[in-house]
Amino acid sequence: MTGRGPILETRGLSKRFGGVTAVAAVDFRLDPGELRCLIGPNGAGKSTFFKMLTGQLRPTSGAILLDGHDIVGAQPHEIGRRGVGIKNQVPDVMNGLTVRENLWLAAHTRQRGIVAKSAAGAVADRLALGPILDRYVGELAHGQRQWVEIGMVLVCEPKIILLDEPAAGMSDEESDRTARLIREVNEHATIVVVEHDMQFIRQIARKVTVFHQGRILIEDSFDHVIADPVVRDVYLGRGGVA
Amino acid sequence: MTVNQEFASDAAIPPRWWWWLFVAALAVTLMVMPSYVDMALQLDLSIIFILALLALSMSFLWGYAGVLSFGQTAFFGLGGYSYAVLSLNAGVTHWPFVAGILLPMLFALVLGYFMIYGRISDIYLSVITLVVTLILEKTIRSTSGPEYVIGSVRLNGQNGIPGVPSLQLPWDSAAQLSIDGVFYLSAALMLLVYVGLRLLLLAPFGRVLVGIRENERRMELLGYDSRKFKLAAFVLAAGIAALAGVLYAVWGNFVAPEMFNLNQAAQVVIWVIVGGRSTLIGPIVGTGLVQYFGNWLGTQGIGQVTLVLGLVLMLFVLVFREGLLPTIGRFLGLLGRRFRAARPA
Amino acid sequence: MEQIWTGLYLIVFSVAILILISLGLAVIFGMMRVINLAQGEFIMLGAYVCVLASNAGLPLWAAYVAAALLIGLFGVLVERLIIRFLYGRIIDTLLATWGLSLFLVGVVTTLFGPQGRSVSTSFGNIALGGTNISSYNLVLIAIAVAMLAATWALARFTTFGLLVRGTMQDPTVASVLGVNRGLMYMMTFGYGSALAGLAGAVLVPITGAAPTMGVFFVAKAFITVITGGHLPLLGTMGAAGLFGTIDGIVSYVRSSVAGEVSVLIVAIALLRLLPLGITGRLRSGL
Repeated sequence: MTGRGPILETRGLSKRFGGVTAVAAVDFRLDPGELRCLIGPNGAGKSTFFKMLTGQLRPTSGAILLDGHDIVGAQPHEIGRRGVGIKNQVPDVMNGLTVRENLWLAAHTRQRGIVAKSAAGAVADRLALGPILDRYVGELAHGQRQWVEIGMVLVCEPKIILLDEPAAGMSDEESDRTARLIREVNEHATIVVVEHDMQFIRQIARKVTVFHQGRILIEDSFDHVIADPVVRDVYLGRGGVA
Repeated sequence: MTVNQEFASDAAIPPRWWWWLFVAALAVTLMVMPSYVDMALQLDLSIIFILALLALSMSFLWGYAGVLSFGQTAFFGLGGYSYAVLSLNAGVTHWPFVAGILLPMLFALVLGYFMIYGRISDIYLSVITLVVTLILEKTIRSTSGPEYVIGSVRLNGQNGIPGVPSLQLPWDSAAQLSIDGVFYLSAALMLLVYVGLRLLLLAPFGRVLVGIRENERRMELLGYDSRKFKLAAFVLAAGIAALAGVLYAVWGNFVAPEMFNLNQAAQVVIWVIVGGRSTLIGPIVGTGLVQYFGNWLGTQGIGQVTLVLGLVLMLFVLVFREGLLPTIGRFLGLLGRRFRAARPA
Repeated sequence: MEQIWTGLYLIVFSVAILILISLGLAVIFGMMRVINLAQGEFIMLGAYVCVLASNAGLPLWAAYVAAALLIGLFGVLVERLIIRFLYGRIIDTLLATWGLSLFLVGVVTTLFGPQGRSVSTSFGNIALGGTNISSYNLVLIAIAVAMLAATWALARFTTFGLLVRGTMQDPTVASVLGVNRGLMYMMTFGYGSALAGLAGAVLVPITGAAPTMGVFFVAKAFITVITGGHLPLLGTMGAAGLFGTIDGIVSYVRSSVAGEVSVLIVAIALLRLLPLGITGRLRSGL
């Protein structure tokens, strides 16, 4: 890695909802070109963390530094423009429009005219979305809708891609394809993946961050994390760490 | 490509040849009409075109951008009143015509900014536009006294402003627009706005608007400032409504607080719903139908009109959710499929 | 000195009227997230019931009770026949209730004619700080306070109130615990309607009853409820307090129309800062 400093960093990032602390003073650091996995039981704060990174939620306290700039308080579309792309947990697409239109709308944020059209076409080819280009997204199967959303994120050529459970609801074959795609895309973008499927993570993970009760429990390579007894306890629900 | 989708407000597809044929035929018919049709009918039809413009403004905002605004009649009234006050003061009509459109758009810009950039929920926005319309009407109605004067024109409260000048012809300022002229103008503008809005669906602005309507959050995450687009749509819709208001003043040579009226607003909503809010041609048809129906009922008395309007609204919300035209279109589509299926392979 | 008393009285009176016309809507909105555009017409119907009951010889207080009961029942009917089918479809509910409001105005105009009617009361004037005011206005203020107190007591001390609060907080959990959500909604809508009917009856001696009176109240009620936020009692009190004060002062100094315009402007500005209303961020409370 070039000595450029982290591409994404959070310092003391917290989010409280009334009496509930979803994320507690998280110091997170992501270097350019990384492929990081975020794991942790449900309710550990991963989705809330993602939402703060994209500006959908405003942190209660702390800073989020994107390439050194604090983006707390920035509007979601500004963060999107700065090169953060997110694929949400539940497919978040324009159901009433065609696949082609969805991709075009994504491409149009970066390109105009003919170039946008061909960029959308290129992404469709890459993801083998050709046959369903003129179908309405709302009518597609779950896995296909995931792919459309991934396509939309990719066509924007973001610097950082956040993937919230990209393999959810996919068949083994589709998961493999997704894993391969993620590794390919990693050559040009930094990626953070939230997932539960350990087999999937095994295929892509280098460094893994474990979230628990709004905090980072441990950050290490996949093999170390999977062998760690504390992590196992947390997943099996045997009490948390203070 | 069904009839439905052709007119629907989410087709980023260029209109087919037969749509252009339809538009051309309509244009020709309208051009030729005054020679065959008597004055009374021309006046009746003109007001339908003008009100159809108002309906189009609402269905554009609602169908494309997903914003339900009850405020279109507020801009309608503001347009009419602006034109009336300015033209009576100035003695000319050409720049008051333009100002009558721009001033309400300015008002829409300010109101819309507060609502849309404040990110208030859709439902609150709808209610606030409703309230603004109500309060505007009340305010205008209360201007009966002689102290309510703009320039040399009294606002006249309940009674409205009479004697609003008809449009002066640009090439001969002594002459004014005749009944024929009003017919041509309103028909032409209605057609232009209809075609314009349909073609807007092809432009990036239109496509982005529809995307925002479908999933605002996703569009923001992609990098679109949805507030800017919604505000632009809000102001554009206000402009179309204001244009209708100015034309109304020209048509009737008269403006009154009734233009802001909630009943008027209700009628606009009903035209759009009856016609089908996801289409553009629907509101035009809806306007015609409801106007004629309303006129016929109007002979029975005010109470009945409101009563029936209310019933129609409830019926269409509960039962015919998509409106007449899409329902008919869907029905025809079903028939078509049945017919094709019955034929031997 | 006298000015202050008059001023205070005007403010309290304004606030009381706002509470009267808004509380029913706030209960319905807070519980069911339903924007009932026919609420103004419920008030209007209550006013007519009061007029009819009065003309039939009933004492005023009996007319109030009749209005509350009858309109409450009518509300239950409306919920069963219309609202029930539109849960979750906020805009459709808005449109359908608007259709209902037009329908009701039409029916009343057809049956009773467009001109207003009134009821005379035996309440005389009393002197307050140098001006004469009708002592009936004080009755109105008392009833508004009683409405608030009764609603609070109902919510706090009865089983029904507990079930309502639970369903408000988390409808899914409540229904899993055996609460019949449909019944809750029906009763709540009925209660909100009854409040509106009572408000109409109470207002009749002051404003008279006319088919289009509802329209005047709807604007104010909606502004109050929306600015108040999702907690019916706290929200209504807060918003009514704020707007009653503004409206009272501006109406006194300029005109009632100016008062309404000021309230609207303040409401829009306030919503810009607090898009969810005054109580929007509060998690608990009534």
